[in-house]
Amino acid sequence: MGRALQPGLMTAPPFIDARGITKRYGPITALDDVSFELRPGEVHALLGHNGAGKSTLVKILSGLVRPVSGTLTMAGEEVTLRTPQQAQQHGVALVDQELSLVPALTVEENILLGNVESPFLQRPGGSRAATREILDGLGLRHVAPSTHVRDLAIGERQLIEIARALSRDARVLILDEPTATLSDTEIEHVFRAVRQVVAQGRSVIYVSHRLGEVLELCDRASIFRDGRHVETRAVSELDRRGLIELMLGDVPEPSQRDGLHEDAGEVATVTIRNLSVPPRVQGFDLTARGGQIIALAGQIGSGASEVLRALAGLVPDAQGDVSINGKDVRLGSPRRCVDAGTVYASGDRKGEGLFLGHSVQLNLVATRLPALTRWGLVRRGAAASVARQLIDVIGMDRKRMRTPVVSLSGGNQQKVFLGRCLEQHAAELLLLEEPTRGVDVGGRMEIHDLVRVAAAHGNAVIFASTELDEVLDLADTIVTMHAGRVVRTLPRRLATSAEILGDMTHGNSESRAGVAA
Amino acid sequence: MTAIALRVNQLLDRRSLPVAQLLLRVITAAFAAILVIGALTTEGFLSVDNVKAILGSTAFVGIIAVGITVIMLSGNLFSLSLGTTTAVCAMLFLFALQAGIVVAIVATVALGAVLGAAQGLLIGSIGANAIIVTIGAGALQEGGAVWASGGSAVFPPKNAPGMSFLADTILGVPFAVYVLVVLAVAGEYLMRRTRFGREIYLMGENKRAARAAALPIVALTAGAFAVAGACAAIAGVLIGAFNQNASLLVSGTFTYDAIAAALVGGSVVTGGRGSIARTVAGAVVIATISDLLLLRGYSTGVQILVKGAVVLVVVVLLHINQREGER
Amino acid sequence: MSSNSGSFDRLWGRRRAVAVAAVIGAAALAGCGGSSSNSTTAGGAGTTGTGSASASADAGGGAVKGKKVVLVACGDVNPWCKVYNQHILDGLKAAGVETTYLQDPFDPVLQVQHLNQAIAQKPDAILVVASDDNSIVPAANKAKQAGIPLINLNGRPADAAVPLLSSSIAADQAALGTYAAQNIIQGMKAQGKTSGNVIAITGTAGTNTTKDRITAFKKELATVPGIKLVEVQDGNWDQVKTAKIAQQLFAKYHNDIQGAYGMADYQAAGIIQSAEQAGLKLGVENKGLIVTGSNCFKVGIDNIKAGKQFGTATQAPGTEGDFVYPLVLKFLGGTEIPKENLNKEARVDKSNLDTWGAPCSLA
Repeated sequence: MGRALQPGLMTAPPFIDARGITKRYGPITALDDVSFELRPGEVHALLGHNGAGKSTLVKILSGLVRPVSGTLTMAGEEVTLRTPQQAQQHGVALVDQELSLVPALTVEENILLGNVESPFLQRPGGSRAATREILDGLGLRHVAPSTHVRDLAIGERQLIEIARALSRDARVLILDEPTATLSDTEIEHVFRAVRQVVAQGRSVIYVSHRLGEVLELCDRASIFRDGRHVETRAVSELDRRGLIELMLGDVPEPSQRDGLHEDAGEVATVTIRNLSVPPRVQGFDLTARGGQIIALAGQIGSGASEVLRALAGLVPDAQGDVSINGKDVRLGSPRRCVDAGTVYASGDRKGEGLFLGHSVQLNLVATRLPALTRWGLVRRGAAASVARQLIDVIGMDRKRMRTPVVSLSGGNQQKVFLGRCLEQHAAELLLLEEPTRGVDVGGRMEIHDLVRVAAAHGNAVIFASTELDEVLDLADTIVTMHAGRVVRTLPRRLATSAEILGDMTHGNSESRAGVAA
Repeated sequence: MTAIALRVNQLLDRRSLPVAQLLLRVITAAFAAILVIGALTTEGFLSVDNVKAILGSTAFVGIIAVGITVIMLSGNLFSLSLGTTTAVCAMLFLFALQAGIVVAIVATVALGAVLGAAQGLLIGSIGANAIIVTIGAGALQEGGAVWASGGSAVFPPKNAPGMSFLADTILGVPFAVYVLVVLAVAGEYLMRRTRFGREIYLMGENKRAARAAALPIVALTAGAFAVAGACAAIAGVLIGAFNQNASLLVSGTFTYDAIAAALVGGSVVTGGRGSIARTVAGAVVIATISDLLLLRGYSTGVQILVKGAVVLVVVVLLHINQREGER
Repeated sequence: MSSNSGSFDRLWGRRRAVAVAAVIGAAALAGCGGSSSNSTTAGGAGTTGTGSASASADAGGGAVKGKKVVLVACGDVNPWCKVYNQHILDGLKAAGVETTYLQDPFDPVLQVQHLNQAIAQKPDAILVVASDDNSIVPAANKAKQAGIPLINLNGRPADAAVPLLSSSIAADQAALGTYAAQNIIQGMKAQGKTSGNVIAITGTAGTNTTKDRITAFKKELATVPGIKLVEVQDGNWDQVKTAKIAQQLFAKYHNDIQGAYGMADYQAAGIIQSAEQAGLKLGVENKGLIVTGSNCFKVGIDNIKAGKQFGTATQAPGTEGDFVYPLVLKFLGGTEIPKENLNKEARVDKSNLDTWGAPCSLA
């Protein structure tokens, strides 16, 4: 499965050799005596749950944080990295998952920005040709260097981030979840770029939760668990199950969905007719019932997210005949939609979901305060007991109740967020956008279970996802979308991954079949 | 407890400490040392009368700062018109005294709340920038006040009924100090225990999330500004009673002093973090430093300079701490 | 800078707000396609007056009728300025002079813009109440080059501005400081004291007005050797700030203060409030603190009547304004007037309230 290693590289001296690295944040040990080596010309995957330590290692290698102990050798020279600039000077470039481009500047300006090797005011001619070449290599032939970044799609921006790192002539490129927001074609471009980079003798550190990508792209994988380095293996010796075993220590069995629970109370009924969400989505129809989990499967720009946002009242000019439990809902106001029984969990959990600085408890009860209030005063006992109930549901330690959400791992953050959104007893319409974005394998299974339980209690669930695996794992009904319209609706048991993927990428299963043949 | 332990551990973790943070810690320590030494060696500083004087000079700014803290916590930066609202309310209060002290106080506080709520309504409903709206609203209030008063100072009517208690002292401490204490306690309670307060904190932390979660953003914003306007009005009542006359001159540097108090108290202008109690502490710290400098005979220029430096150090320190915390 | 108008100087925040208001106002006018009159003013309440039909025949008679004068001064938002400016404008209009009134609530930046506008109008004279002693110098140069007479009002002009001015018509600031000292000396004498501690809380430090008054105050106070001036603090023409400082100084000296000088009456009022809160006795009859102002406001007159303040000095807005306009009319009529004109000021205490009570209660 893994790419065959180029001969000779196996034995080449490592470019990065980190030994005995330890990093603590207060009482928490993020990395415990970890060693890591990166050879020239390899794609090296870092794997592990959220909180396993891979992000900390990435931060140390890119000069963002300093270890408490350990040595770091780069190209045979022992180094101390105090700032990202110093890391850059040693040839390490980090492509962050948080986009750090300046929307108001052009592609070219963004690429030059912060480049310590070349000051901002350099000859535009020379840099332009180089920029062009890099963009072409990333499949961005259609993007002019003078285009403003704000005019690019999110996937294109991610590629520009990579272009920026390449422009610095980096010897080591660190890609942190580079494909989380990309479509399949864009992912192909990233892969091609990565292969090109290593062919030149440079190295890539690849951090991803997507095991398929790791298996397809990487040469070696270092697996981390609880701040410790578990093992480094050649990817060719591993398969998906093997990777999961190494990451989790064991392989949990996915619990089977049991449909509508026997003691489910009221059951939600939702009809959506002729929903339009300018500028993309037209004539969207859907019927959902309590107990059902419907996937809107589509890539970025397919309109799936837009449908959810419209149903949540967050798109002012969305229109359509929507009725929940027999009552018509006028779209366009989050308040009205919530009153009608929708619950929306944004895919952007940091920007539009959680209140990061506040405690787990306050985050869990944030939308329930009206029900917990008497005479304007929050009933503390009631609030605490609701929060306890919810924290038990999401399977988190009650001791974390007072912890600020910002200090939790991504997976736990997502659980808190969904915990807030999952109502237990009312027949509601749950709208989940990318419910497990940035969550590791173990966390993903737990979250999927939460969603199934919520459905079983009589809620209708509609989720949008760009990930085929998630669609196939979680949904019982799949609605594929492409370019703002529904390609088709089919039950999970009749769906094959090839068909779904074809619908998502081409908007037409026939043509996909044709290509495949 | 664990939070404190974590903090202390971080403080002790020298090796991972960036130089800038170390420097700031040294500055803070030096600052505290200077303050303590200054307090011990300055004639007249450690006296009951001086403590009363410090509290007295904290009162007006403190009351306005309570209001501005609620705005900051709501994530709407701050209002630049609270000083003007204070002045306008002082004028209305003295004028309305003709109708009796109770009517005058109620009418004034209501005016302050309405002026605030109107600005909050505008800011919350169309998502306008609070600074721009409040600058405009300040100019409108000034214009309105000049138009209504004809530009003259307002004086209380002869034999103003029962107003003197507002400027009196109880046990040697000005009445206004008691008002500040009551407001601070009530404000803390409002922010910590009521739905309104909790939702203000949530909205201030993340406005987009608050919108997606269908929190009542317009009502919360209007409410935050109304509370701030009411606080400014209460300050206006007290200042009107204290000065025995009122014109737009009353507004003085209250707006900026109140913002400075909130910042020194550690509230974050972008919202969600901070508290009223900390703001009051900030106001007391500033008043103490000003008092110390005054007693040691430093000029007004030095006093202003030091105040600015304190605000700057605190804001930078806060920023660095926050960034560190998010790693 | 005048004390009263100078009290505006502390309004950092408001200044900016008012400047914005002026911009908004101007934009609104332009947007409406209305006249972009230069009389657009800070508060949005500008007045462009032309002389009334009943122009007085004296002071140059017909010669001044139709002449144009621009008054660049602190605006109507300041109660003292309002009365002062109104008296000047009314006096000029009555003689048939066309007046334009550009208000800057003691914003030096806005004032310079207004001066430039005024110069562009090519009037027969520009009258200016300087928001900042020095910041008018460049504009004064321009006016001189344009051949437009510039007359300084109210405060002593900056040395650099003096050669550029046609004349200066001001209050006698030094006399005001002297009278304040005399009030303290007399008040203490009436209690049988010839020694004691005195504090002074001034207007904005560094301005000529404050400097002139405090210098004269110190000089006069020194005539009684037993009276010691123990503190001079900058109260910035701010009542609340003055009250704060007074409170702290009372604490510092354990209430051992016998005399207190608040440069403007409302500052004296701030001292009185603090003294009452600190439990000090006030006035001659109570054998208490002797408080004086040095330019009169209604609040000061009330306090004198109540026995809480010993005295003050004039610089009453109407009286000052009435001193200005006849000299301006003379100048417009072609008669030469002295380069420096100082109004005769008076010391005010309980004994002459019949004379000064009313004119001092206009602001």
